[in-house]
Amino acid sequence: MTAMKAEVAKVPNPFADAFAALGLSAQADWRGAAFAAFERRGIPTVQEEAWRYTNLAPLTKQAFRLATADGLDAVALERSIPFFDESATTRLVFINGVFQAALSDVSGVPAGVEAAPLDDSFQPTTFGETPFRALNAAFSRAGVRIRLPRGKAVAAPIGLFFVTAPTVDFTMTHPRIIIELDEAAIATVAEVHTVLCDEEGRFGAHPYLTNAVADIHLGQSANLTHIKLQTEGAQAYHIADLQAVVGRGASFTSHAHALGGLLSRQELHARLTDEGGECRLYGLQAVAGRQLADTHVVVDHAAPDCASEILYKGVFDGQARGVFDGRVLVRQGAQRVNSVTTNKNLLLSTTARADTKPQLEIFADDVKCGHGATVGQLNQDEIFYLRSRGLTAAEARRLLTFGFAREVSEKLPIPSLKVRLEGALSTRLEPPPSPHGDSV
Amino acid sequence: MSALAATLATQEYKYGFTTDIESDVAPRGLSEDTIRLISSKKEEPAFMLEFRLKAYRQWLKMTEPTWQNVKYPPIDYQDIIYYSAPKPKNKLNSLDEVDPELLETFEKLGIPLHEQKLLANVAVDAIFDSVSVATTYKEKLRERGVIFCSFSEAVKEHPELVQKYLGTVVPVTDNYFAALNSAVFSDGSFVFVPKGVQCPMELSSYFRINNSESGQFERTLIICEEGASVSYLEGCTAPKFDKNQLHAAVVELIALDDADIKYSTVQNWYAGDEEGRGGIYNFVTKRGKCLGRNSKISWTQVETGSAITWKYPSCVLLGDNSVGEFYSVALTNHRQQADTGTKMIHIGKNTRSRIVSKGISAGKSNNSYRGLVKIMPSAENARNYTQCDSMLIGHDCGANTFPYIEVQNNTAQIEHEATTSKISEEQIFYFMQRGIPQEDAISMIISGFCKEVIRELPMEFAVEAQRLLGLKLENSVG
Repeated sequence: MTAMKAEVAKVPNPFADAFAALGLSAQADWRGAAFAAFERRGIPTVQEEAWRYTNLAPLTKQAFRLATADGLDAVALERSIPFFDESATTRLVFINGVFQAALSDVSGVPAGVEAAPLDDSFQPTTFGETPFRALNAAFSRAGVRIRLPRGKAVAAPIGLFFVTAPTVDFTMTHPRIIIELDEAAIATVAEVHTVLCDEEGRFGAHPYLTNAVADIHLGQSANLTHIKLQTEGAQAYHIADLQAVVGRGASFTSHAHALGGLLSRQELHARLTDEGGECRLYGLQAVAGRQLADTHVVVDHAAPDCASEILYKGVFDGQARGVFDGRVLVRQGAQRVNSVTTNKNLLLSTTARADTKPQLEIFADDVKCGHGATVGQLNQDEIFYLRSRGLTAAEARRLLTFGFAREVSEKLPIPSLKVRLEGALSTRLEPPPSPHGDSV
Repeated sequence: MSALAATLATQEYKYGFTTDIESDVAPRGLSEDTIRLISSKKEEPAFMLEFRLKAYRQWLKMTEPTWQNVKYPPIDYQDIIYYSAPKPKNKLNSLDEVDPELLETFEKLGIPLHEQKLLANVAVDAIFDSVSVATTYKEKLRERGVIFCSFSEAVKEHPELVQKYLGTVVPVTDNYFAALNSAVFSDGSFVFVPKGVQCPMELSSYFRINNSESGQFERTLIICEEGASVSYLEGCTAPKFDKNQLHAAVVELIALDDADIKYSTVQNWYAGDEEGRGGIYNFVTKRGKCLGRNSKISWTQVETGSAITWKYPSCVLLGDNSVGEFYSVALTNHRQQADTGTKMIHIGKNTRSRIVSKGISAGKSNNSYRGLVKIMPSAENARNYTQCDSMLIGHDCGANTFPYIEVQNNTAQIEHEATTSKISEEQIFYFMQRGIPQEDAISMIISGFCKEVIRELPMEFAVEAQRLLGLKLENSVG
């Protein structure tokens, strides 16, 4: 019950030099206004409720500059990019924040559907809601707009690849994604954020920042499946803010999986604005070492007869930390809402840590809302059962953890991506080499 | 619940009378002088004055917290009377000498000290405004070595115990209201159960605010030595005033090895009228420390009153194998606000905690559960189970759940569950079809909803609590 000071401590701004290098005047340009908004707000500190478990202080220790693709032979890197195996997929590829037309393939986009990089005329309508949105607006040079007109359905997933191949320390990219589905349109969009390692294993060790913003608008009865796979480098900071507005009878399904990055933070806000909207938010946080994975989910039920389901699972090993904050809001008059939140966390080591905070805020009486959260370790009886059938302790541990995560991973609708996610999970679960090889 | 459209009628607050008793009041406002005055009026030893002044100086440096989910106009701390005591005609030797008007007040409250002495096996410490007026059954308790007296008496007669334990669970720096309480508290209850003694009866104190402009700042300290156990009940009422009154109490519990403390509260402070005028601000810090191995602290609360209830009875589970429990029913109606819950801090090995919270909101009220379960790295094999259920009656009220779960040890097993629901028309229909009127049906459904908590209360309190819940919701569904 210690008093929280309203004063936000002044921290150095690690982006000031990079912004100055753009040579924009603060008054004349909307980017200047965005940067000023960011500066006014500052980098959040752990004093703030929404950031109490995630300390951004390491970000402030050095200056970041915009990443460039200069000197990179993009085509030569093609083989290393984890594209989907499915044929006939549409893809847009960015390396170090620069659109790569040569690697992209939009030939399969049906007539009337827009799936293209944002052009220079793009200007966000607002940017001040969160500091990182404002920062994104100030710096964003690359992005994607996907727009489906009324009744259009795109069966094949549209892949958005944001690849970072950092050649120096402390670079940053600010991707922006806009998805607009008109009445009854249907699409699947997969957003992949990854680091590129060439054969010599370059790039991977450099610290960098990805600050992504996604805005989604779903018209009446539209249906969007959004996939986000985050496998950033071991030293990377990944901060992402997704806002979805779900219209009447529309359906929004999100699969957001965080495996990479030294520090990652995903904000996911879904606002159900009209009757009959639905959203399903699934996610897996699997981190180890000194990684931190933070997910903040908000589902705002602003209309009656809506439904939401949130299922997040965490697997934390080493000294990793997992943070989950899930807030379900049912506004006054939003009757007959049905909402379930589940957050389950598995701590694989004695030094891993999980902080979870599932919240309900209900202002309507005819609703069914529930949430459940658990934190625990692998069940010794289950390990014993598997070992009594001849599995080693390490295999038993891997199998059980895999089974724990599978409830979420199996929901992924793109088979090759599912294989990749589960593969990444298996590698993550490789036990550290031990001389006996048979102890938990 | 459209067919049962809520027509909210005022449920008369039956404890809203005032008693015309001359009282000895300190001048309005807070300063070091006020604190010295309180301390000297109470003839306190020097360490108490130092404790108070230290707290006051700390309080001056603190700012009022703002994170809570309740709203109230700023409190003018200089407009409160910090000390108000019924003027004693002369020193009292027995109950027979207590001001008859006072005794009558307590009779109206349902605690006739005389009769209850014989009928119910409960020792009562009655606190009027801020001063303890009578403690029954003292002799019988003394035989067993149990000390149960007013806090000021304890300061005079057992200063060594007070000095040893006061402020060890809730330090003066803990929070804004605890610091304020530490500076100005005027009385409260003190319980000390020596080694190996099972307290032979339920101990109980009754709090009553009578003066319209005084705040009530009482302090309760309960110490249970090795192997001892005690069950303590607390009841609260206040008269109806249009002005809001501040009640900022501090309760500290200390359980040594194998000790067991059960603390039950039925809180029915005046809640303000239908429009939210008047009522008590109940900003209380309650915390128990399971210091010893195998110790246990259990909080049970039924919160039906107060304009604002804002408190988190907590357990610090330091001793290995210690157990913390929290059972709560919080009912809000009209414009009441509640932000309540618990904190379970697991530090020792094999510590266990259990939280069962039931929130019922009706009218235009707002009811929040806020809880923290924290497993420290040292807490091997800690176990927590949390269940928070909310029920909404009517569509102008709110029910919120803010649980914080922080786990730093992988051997811990933590479960949290929460649901929000309403009384369905099918349930009501089922009752009415069998000839049970709607009001009774609702009352029965509410009792069922709260059963897990009510059954933790001692018998006499369970009956009172059940009745209170029914009364509070009368006419809220029509």
